[in-house]
Amino acid sequence: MSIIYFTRFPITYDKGGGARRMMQILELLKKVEPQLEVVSSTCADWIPKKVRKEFKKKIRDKKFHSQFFLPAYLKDWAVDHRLFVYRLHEYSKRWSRLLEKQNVKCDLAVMDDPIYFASLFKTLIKKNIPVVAASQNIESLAPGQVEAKRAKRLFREELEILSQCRLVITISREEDVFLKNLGLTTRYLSYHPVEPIRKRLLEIREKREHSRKDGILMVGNWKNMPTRQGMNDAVRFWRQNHLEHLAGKLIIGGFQCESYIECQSIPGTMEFHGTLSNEALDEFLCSVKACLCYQPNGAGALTRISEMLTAGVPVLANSHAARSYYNIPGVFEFPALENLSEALKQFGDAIPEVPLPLPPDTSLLISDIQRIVK
Amino acid sequence: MTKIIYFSRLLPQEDKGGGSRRLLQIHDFLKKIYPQVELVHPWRSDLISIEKMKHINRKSREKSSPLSRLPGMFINKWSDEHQGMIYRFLAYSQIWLHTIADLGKLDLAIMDDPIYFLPLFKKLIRNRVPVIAVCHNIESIVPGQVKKERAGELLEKELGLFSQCRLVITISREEDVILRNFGITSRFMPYYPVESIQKRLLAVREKRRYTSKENILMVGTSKNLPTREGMMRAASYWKEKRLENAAGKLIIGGFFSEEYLAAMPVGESVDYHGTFSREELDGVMEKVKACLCYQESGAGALTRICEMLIAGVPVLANTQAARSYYNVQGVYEFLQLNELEEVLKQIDAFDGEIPLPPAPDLSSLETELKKIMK
Repeated sequence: MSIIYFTRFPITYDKGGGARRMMQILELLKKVEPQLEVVSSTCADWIPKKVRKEFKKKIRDKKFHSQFFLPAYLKDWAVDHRLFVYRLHEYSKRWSRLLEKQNVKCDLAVMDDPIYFASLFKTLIKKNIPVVAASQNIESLAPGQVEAKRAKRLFREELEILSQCRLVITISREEDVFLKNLGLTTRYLSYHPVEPIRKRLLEIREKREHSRKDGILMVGNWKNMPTRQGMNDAVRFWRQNHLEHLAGKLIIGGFQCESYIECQSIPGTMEFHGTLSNEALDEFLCSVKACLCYQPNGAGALTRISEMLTAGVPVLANSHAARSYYNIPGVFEFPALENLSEALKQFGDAIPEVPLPLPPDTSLLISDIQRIVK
Repeated sequence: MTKIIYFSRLLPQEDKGGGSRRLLQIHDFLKKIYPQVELVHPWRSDLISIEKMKHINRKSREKSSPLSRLPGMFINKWSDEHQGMIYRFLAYSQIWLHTIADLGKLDLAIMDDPIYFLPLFKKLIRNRVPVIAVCHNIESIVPGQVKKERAGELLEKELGLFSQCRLVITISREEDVILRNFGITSRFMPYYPVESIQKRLLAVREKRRYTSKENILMVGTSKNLPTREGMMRAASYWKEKRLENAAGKLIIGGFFSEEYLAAMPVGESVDYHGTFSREELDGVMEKVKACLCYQESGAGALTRICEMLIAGVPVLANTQAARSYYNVQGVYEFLQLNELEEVLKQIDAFDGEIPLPPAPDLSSLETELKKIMK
């Protein structure tokens, strides 16, 4: 049996949430087929070595000079997101050509968000190869990624593609319900970190039992528009309302924090750290009272919340950011920023205990995949 | 003087289905913020005469109306079963355009699912009247309501309408998340019954303290395709596995069950009841072990679960039916029917009273509504 997983993430658990989710799915797929092949755009897999350098340079330096010369498929995406979409499109074209010419054996293709790999997807469907989509998000619904005027059209296109998949694996309950109602075959697989990450988080949990707790941590990828907006709003609200009196300082960090933060550190109120190394992050996690997730819209904090809970760190999340984690012990939901002070009061002297999240039952998903390959 | 109208497609009566009871909740809440709000619904004979209504209803049942022959018509994008309803609401809103004075001068309009009231909605928007949509469901994705090949198109249209509203109030968390990510201003307002229904349910809760429990109740509107299919599947499974030995009879009933479930055979294990009167339903709820909600797709059981929990009746719900109630105490979630026996055992082992769900905190929604009228 030959299974190929086409991904846009690096095969490592040290990178962002997307890569860590990919590792979780990869682990699950290996239970079905230990020899499965992973083809990642970040490693330029399947691109012949002699052209790899040139190819990478071409797509890295690509400039879109005017709307007039812009390829049609890019017009739906936001300006900031076009280069990313273009790169994946180029990989997808190359992979698709290889698949056709070299007659690669493939009984099942698993693919992260197929909308980014449209030409490859079409080839697979044409060759009657079943496709399972790993939906990291409904991408056309991620605010900031799409040209607002064309969002609905792109959304329809994405649904069209997903409806041709034999199965869509979702990371969020909300998307699962939505896609099911559109008649798609889906399976919700909640995020649960793979063993090396889990081990690290359990060590933090252990250390937290004896540590003194102070401050609230807020981390996220600042390059992501809704995350950035939410974090900046929360920072402003914290400063204006002197929330340090309730819960100590707000510690802010994350990828590209330096480039996007809109205000300065204030001793005792808030401090900014740029991209945090694993060690620096772990250190904060051992000693903070809780982690704050605030997003007025966007994909939520689907990997972060699960990891925080595994590390024993309570999570304060507004209703949107808490998506897929509603009513879970250890998650303290608040409707809007105005309600944050109220929520923080729960973290006075005694920090609430966070039960260890259980891994999801994957047996049904595994049998779904086995059935598709049969 | 400010003029505010709430246009509803439902009858404000607590004895009717979940939609009507949700309308009562919204209307009650709106009255607190805008005491002058006027409720307009199709059964108001001062706005649509009884004669006219009868005529519209008769016409809506005529399958061979000229409209149904034009494939591009809006009405023909809906399933055959649903076209009558679409016809009626379009006709009602056409009448309201003439019978309600100064529509264009309204200060605010609130409207149930605007896709049903297109002419009215368009007029209000043209006249710059702010509109708040009350989303009972995203109607274009309710299975069985839409022609499959037209689903994407209708969904795009419905989202387009929501995006023109000042605010969309949703009854489900899932829809709230999806709409927000589309850039639509949306607020989740959980269902909680109005005072009079609460009183009744609390009386049931009180009586349950002294009753011995037997059987499982399954109640819903059989006219709704996913509800009906779910009921039929659960009943077949119950019979096949002889679950009466584990939990007693499965009592099935609810609106339209005489019409849609009449052909189902009556056996020892399943009891088909028909529409329950209020007293009958209360009587059954006092004595059942639990209530079963099973739907493989569809809108879920958004009003029913809350009411059952207030009445102290535990709820067994598969993942799709449990939407918006995940991880809530008293709700026993299962993925598919073959897990039902296991969940029934949990119900048997549970010896206590399920906690009374608290009324939702609507303060931030209230602020939002007040802001619109400023």
